[in-house]
Amino acid sequence: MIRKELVAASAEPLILSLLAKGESYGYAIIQEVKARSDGKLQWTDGMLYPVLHRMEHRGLIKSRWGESETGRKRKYYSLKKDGKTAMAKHQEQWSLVHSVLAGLKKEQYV
Amino acid sequence: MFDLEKSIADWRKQMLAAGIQTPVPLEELEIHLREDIEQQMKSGLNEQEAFTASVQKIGQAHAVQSEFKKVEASREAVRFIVANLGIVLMLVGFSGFGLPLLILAAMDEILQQGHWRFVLLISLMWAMIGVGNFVSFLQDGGTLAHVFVRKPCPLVLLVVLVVTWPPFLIGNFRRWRKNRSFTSPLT
Repeated sequence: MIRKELVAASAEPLILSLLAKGESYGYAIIQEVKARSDGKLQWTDGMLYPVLHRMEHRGLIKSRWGESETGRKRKYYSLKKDGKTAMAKHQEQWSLVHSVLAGLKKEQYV
Repeated sequence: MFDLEKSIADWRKQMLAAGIQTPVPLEELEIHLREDIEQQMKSGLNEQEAFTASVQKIGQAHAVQSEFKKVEASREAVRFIVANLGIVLMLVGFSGFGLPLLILAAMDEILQQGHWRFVLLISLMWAMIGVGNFVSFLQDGGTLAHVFVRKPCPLVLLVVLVVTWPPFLIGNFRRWRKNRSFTSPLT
């Protein structure tokens, strides 16, 4: 399992990057993160919504009520301009951490 | 016999008891719960097993609520600044600008939180200013309309400022600072 702190810190960049592909809703976001991490990044479902609401409040994303194909009510979230900027920043920082780690790891085997 | 609708209704009651607000976000959580139950049943669980599994995945009501509370706190701070700006404008005599801001903040409070604490507070402030103005009207004359648009008498202004502002400003600022940098645990 991935450490709690890392799960918490990665939630926002992951949600932003997912929404950059197009609007989505809570259930689908959880499913996609789970699938893409082979089930290793597993959130407590209910905890996603406070995060989404907070991001909406900060103006990173916006929401609208819509309907699913089967007529079920759904709340869709999509990226706002500030969200795109925040996403780029996150990705830059995570890439940096990753490249430092990868470089150090490489040196261990030389 | 397991009754899914009754179980969902019971779950709603638990969430409400923990302080989760309705319709938002409770409705959103219920939609999620129903979608997950449906998916679990498609993968072979029966109604009862699916319900139990989905409820567990959503998480403890009080844990979810404590996260929502942090979100509301930052919104509360913004709302409070708007309301205070409204009060300042009214105090210096611009009721036409100040009152809409107060009403906006109050409406947001009612829609978001569903309770009247904040509305009572600002009504009280407005009433104090109004009473002060009415007293000046009785003393100095003029038209009744002045009660709503003129500057309040200095004493009332002082009382309103000293009694109500500092505690609320400090409280809100503290809460806002505490929650500004929070990251949700998610697990």
